[in-house]
Amino acid sequence: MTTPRILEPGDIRAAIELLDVHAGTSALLAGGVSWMLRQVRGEALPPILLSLAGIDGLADVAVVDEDLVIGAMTRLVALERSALVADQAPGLIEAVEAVGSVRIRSQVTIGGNLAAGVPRYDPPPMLIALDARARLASPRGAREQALDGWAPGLPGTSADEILIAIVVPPRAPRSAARYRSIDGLSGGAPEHAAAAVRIDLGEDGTIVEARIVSADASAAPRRCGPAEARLIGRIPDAEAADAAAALAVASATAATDALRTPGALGGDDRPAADRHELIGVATRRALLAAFTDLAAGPLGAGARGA
Amino acid sequence: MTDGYGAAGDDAAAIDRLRAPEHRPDLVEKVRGQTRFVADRVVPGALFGAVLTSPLPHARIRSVDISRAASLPGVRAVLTGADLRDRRFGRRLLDRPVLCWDRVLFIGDRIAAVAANTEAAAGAALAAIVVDLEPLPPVFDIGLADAPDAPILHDDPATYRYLDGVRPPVPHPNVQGHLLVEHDAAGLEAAFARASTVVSSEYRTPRNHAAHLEPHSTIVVPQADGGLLIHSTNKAPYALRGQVAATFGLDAATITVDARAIGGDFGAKGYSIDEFVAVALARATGAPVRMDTSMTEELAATSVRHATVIRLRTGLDADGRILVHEAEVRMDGGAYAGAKPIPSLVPGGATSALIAYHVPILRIDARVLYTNSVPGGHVRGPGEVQALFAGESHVDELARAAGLDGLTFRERNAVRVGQTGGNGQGFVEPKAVEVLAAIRADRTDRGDHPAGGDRPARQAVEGPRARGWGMAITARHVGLGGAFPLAATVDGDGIITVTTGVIDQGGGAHTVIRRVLAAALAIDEDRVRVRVVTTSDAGPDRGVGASRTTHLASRAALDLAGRIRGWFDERLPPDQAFTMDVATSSRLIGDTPIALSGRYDSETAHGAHGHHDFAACVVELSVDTETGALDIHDVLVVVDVGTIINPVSHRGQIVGGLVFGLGQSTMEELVIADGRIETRNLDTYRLPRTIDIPPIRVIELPTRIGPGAFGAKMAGELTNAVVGPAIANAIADATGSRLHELPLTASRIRAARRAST
Repeated sequence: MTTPRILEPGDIRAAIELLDVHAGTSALLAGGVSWMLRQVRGEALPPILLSLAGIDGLADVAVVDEDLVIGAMTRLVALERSALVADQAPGLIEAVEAVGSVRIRSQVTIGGNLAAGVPRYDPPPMLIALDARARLASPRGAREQALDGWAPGLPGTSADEILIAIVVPPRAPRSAARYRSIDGLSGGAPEHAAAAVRIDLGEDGTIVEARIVSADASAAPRRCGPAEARLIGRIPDAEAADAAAALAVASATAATDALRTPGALGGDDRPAADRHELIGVATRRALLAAFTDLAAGPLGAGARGA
Repeated sequence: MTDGYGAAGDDAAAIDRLRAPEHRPDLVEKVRGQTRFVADRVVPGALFGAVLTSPLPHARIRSVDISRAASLPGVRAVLTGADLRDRRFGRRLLDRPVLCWDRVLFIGDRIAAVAANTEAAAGAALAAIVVDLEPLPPVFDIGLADAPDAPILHDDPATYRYLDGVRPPVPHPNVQGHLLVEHDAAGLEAAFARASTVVSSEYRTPRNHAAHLEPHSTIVVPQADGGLLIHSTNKAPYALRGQVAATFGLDAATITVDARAIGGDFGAKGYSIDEFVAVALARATGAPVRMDTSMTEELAATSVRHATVIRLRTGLDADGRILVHEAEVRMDGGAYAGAKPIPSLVPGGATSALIAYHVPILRIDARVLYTNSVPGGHVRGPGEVQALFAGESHVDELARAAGLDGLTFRERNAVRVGQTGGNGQGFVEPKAVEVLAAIRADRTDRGDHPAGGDRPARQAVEGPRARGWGMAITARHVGLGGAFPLAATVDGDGIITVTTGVIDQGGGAHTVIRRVLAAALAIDEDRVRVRVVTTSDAGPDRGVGASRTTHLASRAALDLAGRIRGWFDERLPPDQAFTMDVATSSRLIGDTPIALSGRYDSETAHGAHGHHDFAACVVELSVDTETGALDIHDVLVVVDVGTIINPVSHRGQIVGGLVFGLGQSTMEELVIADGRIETRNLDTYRLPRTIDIPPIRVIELPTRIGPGAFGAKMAGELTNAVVGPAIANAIADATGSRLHELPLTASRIRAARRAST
């Protein structure tokens, strides 16, 4: 098996040029674990891999024009420890902490997680719930693309585009975001059901905006529109959480498991009804945690505002 | 004067020295990454060996066309079963073909082999081989494998060679091995008839893998004199030498096995596969051939813990005492029996379901069956893990039926001195009562203060929780295993250099030798050096494993120490007592070191037989009743282990065994579908991670009754079998739903709860 040549451009422009020069024979070294697993499985690797590790500024976290801008090369452990993330997007910390171990989070970058991830990765559902956007650079300049609709490989992007940052918009004054994942094993396959939620309250204490994003091991995370709609105008209470969770189960049941790959990385052979039941549990728990944060006011772990 | 536990005089002083933590002689190199494992070794000119395996579980080989493969650049040899017809290998029964010539019996069975200049060329050659297979009906169900009309998987097993004895008879051609254990069994049905309570249950356990992180590797190097040098990861190098000689009709003396560094074992490194193909390729090419197994090959096509179906029936008297017990154990042996070294070809632990109890009337029928699946072999605690899950789950069901709690039931039925245990055997000083007493004391001390209340959770603990506790008890033999020789030199500075062919696969054998010698001679450990050599440079032994190594190595070291001391005693003035300082200052040894040897034969040694370790385990946990997720708050294990020689490694074995057992009972399963292993790497064959490990407490019983030096026993295969049933019993206590199948996954817990409501 041929070992790919690793190129390390010094800035984004050079990286874009190298991608252009080696079009068809190169790929970005994003998601090193995924590349390693492909190699282990005997899959052919591209002759050239471009590492972004030497590019200054790609691992920065900053607030720019009220947006939280997270460089694509930011390691997950740095996100966990970021005061800016804790203030602007505490729910993201909860999702990041669900990833592997400290050892793994010390190596994994948020960009690699998004670009080369598998459905059961934890941060993407929360980023979708936070209405985050992917910032991309290419020979045609920079652009942003909503992460809603995310799937492994970042659908909607082209081969000459480089993910350089994730942009999280500012939070509403009374907002809470929470993440719950349920991990286990079934028939030897890892089972995973997760829900990321974001709840914004209006001045009257009712829900004015909701994001409910569910995920399991067999499909990309998906927003549950009916569940979100059911919450609008309601008081955040257990009854509302139960109703939304039931609709999340229904949405999961209706969704097509487009990425279902039994036996492969991310595969899950459990009966669908069982998986969907766990999505309901994760959704209800995430919502109840968010509601508790909102009731607790500014001290709530995932909440902001009073 | 004794040390309080029965050891007297010099023994007490030696035992006192053994309390200090050990320094493992192999540790520095390993920590620095300097140890050269087989896969690290470079042999100039070595070819790359590779094998083409069957994609079908059972098929007739119509043809194999190697013409294109053989003509590819860089390809040095292509062999098929036709070239190696009737060459079979195995640890005891030689039933597995080096390359199949007429039939393939599992997905992974080998059809052709290639030696090439590069790995890529070997891969290309494999891809160019054309095989025509005619599918045959497969046998997957061990319940049907020995049915009268079952397809016979081995046409003429009577022709298979059986090493070191005569193969015991089997009742059906598809039976690899059969054990029938009976004690007063003539009265079996009458006893069931008069029993106050009879409980019958069925349990299932899956295939597990030992999951040693170093896959098997080998390099076979033809020697100028016509012999073979085999670099191998096999932990029983002398046995491998004999097996290779038997398969190829060679003189064992012409074969040297070098297995001096092994990276993990857990029971599975006594079985070699690639060595045989590599020998054939090396003989065909005259060149060295290397083969390094991938983890996928390890998981899918080497050898695994036997899957089982175990049916138990037990009768109790009105006081909740066991009157009679019957067990039917069916083990999936896969396509070949050759991975098992034991004479019966049935993993010995298979009869251990009620081993720690007095059972007056008993019948155990244990069979290993041929199927069209990956071969069953030895993994840490072979047979015990399966039998104990069944037996100790069954005991809790018996206790419930008798209206007793699990601890009281066990106390009432625990085997005592002079009684027959649940495996039909007696014990030397059984400690079942003592380990249960320690459990009772701990439960009393804890009272209403369950453990683990302040254990940090990874995420918030939410949802409905059910809390419970469960326990299990086990016994495991201290192993035997023939002669164990040690050779040594002592130089004028009193430096003892021990030469041994026994390898240390991480279990601490070399440290045992070093520390026992040092303790017995009252010298610093640094004065003892252990030199591990190939099979050509030391006397033969059976290899590490079977819970015998500490017993044998320590006694051989003690014998050697006695001979060293005796050599000096004969030469020192009568009024001068031996110490090594006195001995060296007397200049009895000149420039040439003296050579001495020690030896221990466990089969003939007085008092070596019948020793067991006993252990009991209590698990406290809570179950998220919505998701089935387990949160284990506390694990307590009480172990009767005799004198401890390597304190750090010993604790590592006890705790590491618990973690190993926790993984194999709650998450590890080689999922198989139509004969194909689906969990083909460590992403789907999940092992415990650091965050999966609960708080563990260990209580060691202070006994000195083992057959090893100074009363040592064993530790490596004790706790891994007892933790699984303790968890199963705790789940049943918490949820009211009993799982009868391993692993104890969240989805199974949910399913059991759904079924019970």
